[in-house]
Amino acid sequence: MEHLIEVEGLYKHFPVKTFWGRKKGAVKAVDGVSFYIDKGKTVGLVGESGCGKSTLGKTIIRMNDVTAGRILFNGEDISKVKGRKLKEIHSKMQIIFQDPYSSLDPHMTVKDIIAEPLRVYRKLSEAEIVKEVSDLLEQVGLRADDMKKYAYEFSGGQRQRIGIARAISVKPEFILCDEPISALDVSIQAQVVNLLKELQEKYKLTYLFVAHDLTMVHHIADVIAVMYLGKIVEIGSSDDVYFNPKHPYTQALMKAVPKIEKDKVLDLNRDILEGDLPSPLDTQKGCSFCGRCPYAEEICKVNVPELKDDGTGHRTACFMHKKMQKNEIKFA
Amino acid sequence: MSGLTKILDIENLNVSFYSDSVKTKVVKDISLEVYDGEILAIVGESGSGKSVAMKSVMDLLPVYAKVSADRFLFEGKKFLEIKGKEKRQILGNDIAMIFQDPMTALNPVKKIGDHLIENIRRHNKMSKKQAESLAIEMLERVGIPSPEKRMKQYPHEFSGGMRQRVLIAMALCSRPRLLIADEPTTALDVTIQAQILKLLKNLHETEKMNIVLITHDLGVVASIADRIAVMYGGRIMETGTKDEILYNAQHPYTKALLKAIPGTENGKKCKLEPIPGSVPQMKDMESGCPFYSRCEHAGEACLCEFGATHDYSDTHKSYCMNDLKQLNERGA
Repeated sequence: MEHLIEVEGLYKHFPVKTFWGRKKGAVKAVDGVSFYIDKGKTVGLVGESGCGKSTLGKTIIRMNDVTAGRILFNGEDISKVKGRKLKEIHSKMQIIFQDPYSSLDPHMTVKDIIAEPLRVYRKLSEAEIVKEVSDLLEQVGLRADDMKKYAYEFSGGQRQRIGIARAISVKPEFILCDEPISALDVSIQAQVVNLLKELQEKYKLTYLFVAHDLTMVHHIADVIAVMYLGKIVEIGSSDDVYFNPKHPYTQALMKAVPKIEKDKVLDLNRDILEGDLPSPLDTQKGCSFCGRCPYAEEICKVNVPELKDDGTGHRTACFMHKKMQKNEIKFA
Repeated sequence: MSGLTKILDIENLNVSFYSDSVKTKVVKDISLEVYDGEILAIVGESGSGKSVAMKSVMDLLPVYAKVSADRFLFEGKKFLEIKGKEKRQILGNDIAMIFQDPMTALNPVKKIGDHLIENIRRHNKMSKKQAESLAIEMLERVGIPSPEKRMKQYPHEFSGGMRQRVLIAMALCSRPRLLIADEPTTALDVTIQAQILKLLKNLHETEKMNIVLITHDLGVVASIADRIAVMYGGRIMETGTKDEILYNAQHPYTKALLKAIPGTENGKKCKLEPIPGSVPQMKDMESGCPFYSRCEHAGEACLCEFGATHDYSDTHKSYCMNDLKQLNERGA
């Protein structure tokens, strides 16, 4: 399978300055991440808020500058491109935002919103634009005469459809879905997820699907990557990670998801992951999860674990992995 | 359930909003009971009127809202007739409320300790010293480490989960009989959500505090609630115990809602079954069933009249014009 995107040792640090402008430290939002996305597939990126998952996505599509590392898009390094070349790259990589309320300009009609990327990236006549926009609206399940309306006339789910139409308007190869469903109602979420899947099949789109809802990610993604404090701690095929999580953080995350199935309902009396995500400002030695990990030992406090393959492509960054396997019954 | 005392007993509650002589009914003829020693969950999508219904209990609705009910009893007192000082004695004291967004509910320029002390002294005759020690005790009770130090900090120094704990501590100060939790975990990560749910459940058991939980997440409901009321378009569609609603739902809306959530078992290959359309505007569903436009079984009668009552057990009721027994037997 051909990799559409390959990320190698990607770092994105945001400098923190004192009042006088002197450098005080850095927020290590993305701290050495390597993975790849196959053409036509979906990678789901999960983690708690503040773990750097959105920053990673936005750095990949070059909305952020790269601190260090390489991003290969179709085999070409795009981590340092600028100017006209960057614009060209952006026409192939689009984004769907989380909040359908603030991501659509209230002063613009739907037609202008969807036509904006067309005007920037493709030279079309006005008549062609109208035709294109009405075509796009119908593809996302809206009506062509909706194009004269303003964003406030639509509900949350319909607005997200407008955002999707805008993203696919320039025929991109890759779309970053940055929590596209977390602001929507349950009954609407399924509509949007199904629409995204339909479009993926139709246009052979590749998605990076950022979310914190594990069940939904499992439903849509082929590969799940779990992030914690700027690093990927576990990555593997969707079913592997979902049904057989290996990293203690993934296991805790999985257990904390409230489920409806009778035998899987979240039991509040069993072990619940305590504590908060530490600040990405504090530089600590060793595994970033060791402060909250129930299995942490001396080695975890000193060394940083690396992603290790178990032979099936399921990679985990944990020292305690082998030990955990032995008393797995206790954990599950 | 009939042997238990009712803490809150509401029959045919109506709430209307008036603007420019236009009257919009947002809560229509809902009847609710909260029994002593239970957690009642009100489930519904945004705009279903679940928050408005409970805010009418707390007198938190805007001036243009009009509340009326055939019966509105809190611990046997006729609640709508109580005014002024007597009501303030009850609100915040016997009934407390916590909100969705813990950041906006706290004053950013006030220390956490002052929030608590103000709240305590508002309802009890206490010296500042006594109030302070009670506040520290409460913070400890909700699981905030080193509470003496935390008392002197400001809300921005707290994480989302910690802020929600502070709000719960504030609500707890007066040892309320009833806690109304309006989407308390919606803004939080899953691991933190589990912590807060555990805390609420603990307090429910140890402090004998009854809880009304407003949420849109059926998974949350499954883990904590005893009884569920499903709301849509300002009406209650179905009520019952947790098991009756989640595993033996009868109403078409409840069933559709349960189907729109990705299950863990039914694999990823199958398509989600979303509810078509979107939640209609309140003004468009004056009479008749609010689910009419999205329901696959809707008939003539549904347009002009709202649901006949179906009783399945002492606790399980649903409101629908269709003959549900026949419908469900056909396997719809």
